[in-house]
Amino acid sequence: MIHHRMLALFNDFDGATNLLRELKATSIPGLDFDNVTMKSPIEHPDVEAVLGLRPVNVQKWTLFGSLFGGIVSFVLISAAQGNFFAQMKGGKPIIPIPPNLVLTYEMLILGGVFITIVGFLIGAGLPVGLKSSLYNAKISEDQIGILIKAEAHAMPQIRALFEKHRALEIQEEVVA
Amino acid sequence: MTTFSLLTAGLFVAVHLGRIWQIYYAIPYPNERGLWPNFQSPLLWDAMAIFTYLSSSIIFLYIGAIPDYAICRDNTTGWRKKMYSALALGWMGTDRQWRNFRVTYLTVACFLIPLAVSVHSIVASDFAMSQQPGWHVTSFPPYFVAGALYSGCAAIITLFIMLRYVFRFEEYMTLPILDKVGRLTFAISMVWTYLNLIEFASVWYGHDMYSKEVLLQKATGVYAPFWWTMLFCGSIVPLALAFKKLRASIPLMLVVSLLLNLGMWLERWMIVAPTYSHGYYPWLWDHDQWPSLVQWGVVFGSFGWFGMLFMMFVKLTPSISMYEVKEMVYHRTQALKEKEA
Repeated sequence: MIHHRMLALFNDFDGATNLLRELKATSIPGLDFDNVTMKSPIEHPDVEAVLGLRPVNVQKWTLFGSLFGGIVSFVLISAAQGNFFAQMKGGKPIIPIPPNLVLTYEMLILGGVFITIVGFLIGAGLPVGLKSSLYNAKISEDQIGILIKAEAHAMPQIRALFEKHRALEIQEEVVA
Repeated sequence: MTTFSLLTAGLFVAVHLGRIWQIYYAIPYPNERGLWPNFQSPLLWDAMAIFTYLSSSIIFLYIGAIPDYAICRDNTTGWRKKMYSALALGWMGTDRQWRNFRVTYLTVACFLIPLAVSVHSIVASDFAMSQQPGWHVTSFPPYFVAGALYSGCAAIITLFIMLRYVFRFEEYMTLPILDKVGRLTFAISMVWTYLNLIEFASVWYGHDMYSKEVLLQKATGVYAPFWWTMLFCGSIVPLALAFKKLRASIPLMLVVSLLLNLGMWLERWMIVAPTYSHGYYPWLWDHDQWPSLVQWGVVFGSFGWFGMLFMMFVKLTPSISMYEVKEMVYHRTQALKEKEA
């Protein structure tokens, strides 16, 4: 199946929102609404809400990273202390809990931050080449882009909708 | 600022060794040389805390600037475009990217706040967990946290005014923002003053004659001019920030912030030097810790190093978050439209 990608630029969020609402309400054969993407210079939760629930899993990565960092650091430090036979303990605990908790706390944060970033990169699909998708430099200035991937036969209807909502510029490409 | 200050502080570990190649023998990790990290030492906690703080600060700085790097990428040419393209990671501002960005930025920020408190508390533990008079103080951790916030705010005011003047940032770095930073600085200065008074009172009314001696030496000995200047700059000068008219005057704010910076620099010196020269060893009592020319060179070199890094950063990367300014403008315009409707 040959797919096409079409990117339309809008002057403001209102135009983009109206288009998204109509796209959602209209059932266009060959178009899956999950393949509609908004590209914007700033974040806009209200418009993102029109696109529907698209889960973000960064928090799960954070939880995993924090637990991993905390547990692994505690185990490694304790193992190092337990194996250091040359040091005379003199009745003091082999694995002292309070100092280890300080280090565990630091490593919990470090693990949390590092793994959060991994989660962010995976979740956001970064790094990515600009040629992987239709893009226009005007998006980073002040225009709003709506990118749609659909089957070839749906494209004329989508283009008509873009024009109806006064898209400033329309780009199209064929995706294998 | 945090990142560059930490880079400077990290450099000091090597600088203070004298023979810089010896740093290899100082890095604490289990190895064939028989060195073994003492996990119970606050110095080791310090190394780990500062590493965590530095890496987290760099990540926070970088992640928050990705949308801005994308703007720079789309508006530059040549080597700058290549550099910003690499830094932007292919950011296109998709809703998926923004959703993940929002959560990530907030999460890392939430990590950084307790991290900042823990780092300064641990640095304070380096001193407080020793038995040295003048350092063995219970209130040191909150005192260091307050001191860090205080000097940070003072430095923000100084750099805020300088950037406003040099780069003509009047439209972004507005007077209401300066006013709020001024109020915050005033509040923190009072916390810092309170913690100082607690320290003095607990030493004065305590039964440790050595700590009392160090305190008396600070107030009446060779360090007295610096100690009183520290108190004047740290506790009296910020009272000016309580007045709105004074907070609205940019030249006065600059002078106040420079005095606060001086006070906070003297604070660090007054923590370290008097205990060294009036500790438990009587043979050190006539050795006043006055910096040599080389030490002054190191100090001013650190100022230059920090200044160079900061200026390079400001020159090469967006020093004001462009996407946040765009958001602010958008929301204000929307609010005005709603008001008119």
